[in-house]
Amino acid sequence: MGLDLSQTLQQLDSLAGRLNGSRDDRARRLAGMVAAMSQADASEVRRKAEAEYNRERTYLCAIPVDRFAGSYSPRPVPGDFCVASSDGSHIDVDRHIPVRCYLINIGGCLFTYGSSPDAQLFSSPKLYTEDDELYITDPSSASNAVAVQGPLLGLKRAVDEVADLASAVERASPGVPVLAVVDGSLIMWGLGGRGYQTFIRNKILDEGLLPELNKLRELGRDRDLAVAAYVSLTQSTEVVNALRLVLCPYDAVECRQQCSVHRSGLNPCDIVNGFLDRHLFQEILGPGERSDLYRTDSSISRDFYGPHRIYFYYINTGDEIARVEVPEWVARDEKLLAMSHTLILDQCRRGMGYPVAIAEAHEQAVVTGKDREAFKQLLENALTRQRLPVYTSEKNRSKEMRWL
Amino acid sequence: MAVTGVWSGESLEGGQRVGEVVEAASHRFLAQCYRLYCSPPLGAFVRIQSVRTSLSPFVDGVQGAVEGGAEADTSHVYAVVCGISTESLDPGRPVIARGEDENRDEDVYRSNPQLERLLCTRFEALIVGHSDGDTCVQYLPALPPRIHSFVHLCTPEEVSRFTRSMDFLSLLVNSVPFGQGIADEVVAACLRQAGAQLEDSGSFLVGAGKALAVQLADDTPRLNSILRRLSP
Repeated sequence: MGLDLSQTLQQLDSLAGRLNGSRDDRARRLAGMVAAMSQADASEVRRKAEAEYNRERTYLCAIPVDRFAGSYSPRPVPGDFCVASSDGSHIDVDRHIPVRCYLINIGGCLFTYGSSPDAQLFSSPKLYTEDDELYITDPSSASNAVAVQGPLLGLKRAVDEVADLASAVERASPGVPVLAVVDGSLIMWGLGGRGYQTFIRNKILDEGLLPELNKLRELGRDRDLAVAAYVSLTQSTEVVNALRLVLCPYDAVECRQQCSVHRSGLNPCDIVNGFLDRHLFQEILGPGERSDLYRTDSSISRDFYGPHRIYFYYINTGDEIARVEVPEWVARDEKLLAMSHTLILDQCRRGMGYPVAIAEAHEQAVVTGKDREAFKQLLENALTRQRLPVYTSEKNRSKEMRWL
Repeated sequence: MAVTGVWSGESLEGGQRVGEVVEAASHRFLAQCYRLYCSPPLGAFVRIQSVRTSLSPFVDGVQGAVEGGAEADTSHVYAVVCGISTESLDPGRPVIARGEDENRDEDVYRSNPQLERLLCTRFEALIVGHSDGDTCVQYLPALPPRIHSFVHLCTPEEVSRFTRSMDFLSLLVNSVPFGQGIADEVVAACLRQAGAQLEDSGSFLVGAGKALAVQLADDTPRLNSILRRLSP
């Protein structure tokens, strides 16, 4: 017997009751946040956010580029334009199957709108089995190798997605403006902190993502090309944290001390506790509008992305508040920035609330449960044909049989 | 003579490749069109070039018929289009209404170019005969067409040659693919399509009517129902 739903239901009812009880309090605090945000001086926010003493604060803080709480309407949709997107899915290394390998399937699309509408859909699976694909080796110490699997495989896949995005853009009609959009974040959050050694970061960024972003930027020399990442139902709190900075009355040292207990409810900045950026922008942005532009202070973007440092804004698609990330060369170009806003909104309209190109790229990339089973079976068949041993773990066999 | 494809308004030329077999049985096959809505019309004659290879060694029950090479064993299967459908390519993705803000239904496709790739038109065809070299017969072949066989629209010459005999009508009349009423529609559509491509359409339809009268001697209402549908 698995999950006891009757017990779970009681706990869920209790949760819903608690949330309902705090509704008025949340509405009051949110109104206070909006007022504080509209009165805040962006240059003061920027000064505090970039101050050296704030580098060690316990939360990540958005840095406003121009204003802090502005909103912008979309521009008219151009007559002819293309939208490219790519997405990926993978079958991870699995110790329950007899060969060490992984598979990455990258799917994508290139849609042409306007006078000559067209659609290209593509997907390309690749199986990785060689040692130099299965492990990333430290160039300074051959004995130091890290297996490509789990989150690291996810990072490699993200690089492949951007590479295929560049390939899709290359196929777009010459001269036509292009929005190249991917699902999720352009920031490789997983590489931050002390999770990975330097040679891993170099491999993923310097030999992977950044050359592909360079390629996209070069492709943008001959046409209007806006590269963007779309984060649906974002959990980000970077702008809320910038507001926390505005509200904080303490000096640097006290701030660091107080912020370690900022959920206590005793500090002036605690008004923002429990809110996400999207809650805030739901109050600020009208349908179709985008927010001001912010620069992320994520260390991975700040210290390693070079000319591709990541900026972001929020957009009210009419159905949700989504976060849009763009590299610096898009953020600093008013025309490209406005194009990303306009075309992402247009994509959401065509996709019933979600960018249709991202949805179709996902459809091309997805590896279903059945696909995974079929892959396993084909792998076993291939080994059997070569008279190689086929085995699985007893644990896996037990799960498959489920005998009484 | 060109035949107008369903809905698209694009002309399909006789001999043109119109699709590919995705399901096959002894008496029928299902073909997927290469382009959305570019199906041969209901009742059209289509042809599949059938090449026997080592994948089908038991031809007419004789093993080893493949010997002698594929060239010598080239044959054709003839069929009549008996149903056309357009739907989502992925059965798990239902089609939804998208045109509330559009003025014309074509605008839905212009605004959503991916639909051309995600919808697909298929047509079903009843096998009515086959040829082996110069010999053309109007009964089912020993083996169904292979999956991925190319389907071509028959030229007027092929239609003329095939319809010299009316024996194929018994396969159509008795096929009842989706019910008798639809079978009658298919018979009538087939004769209208063929008649329009032949020089002596009148004689052809008279001959077809006589053959139907024999087939349906004990079912006059059904015979009349079909004959009424033969007028253009």
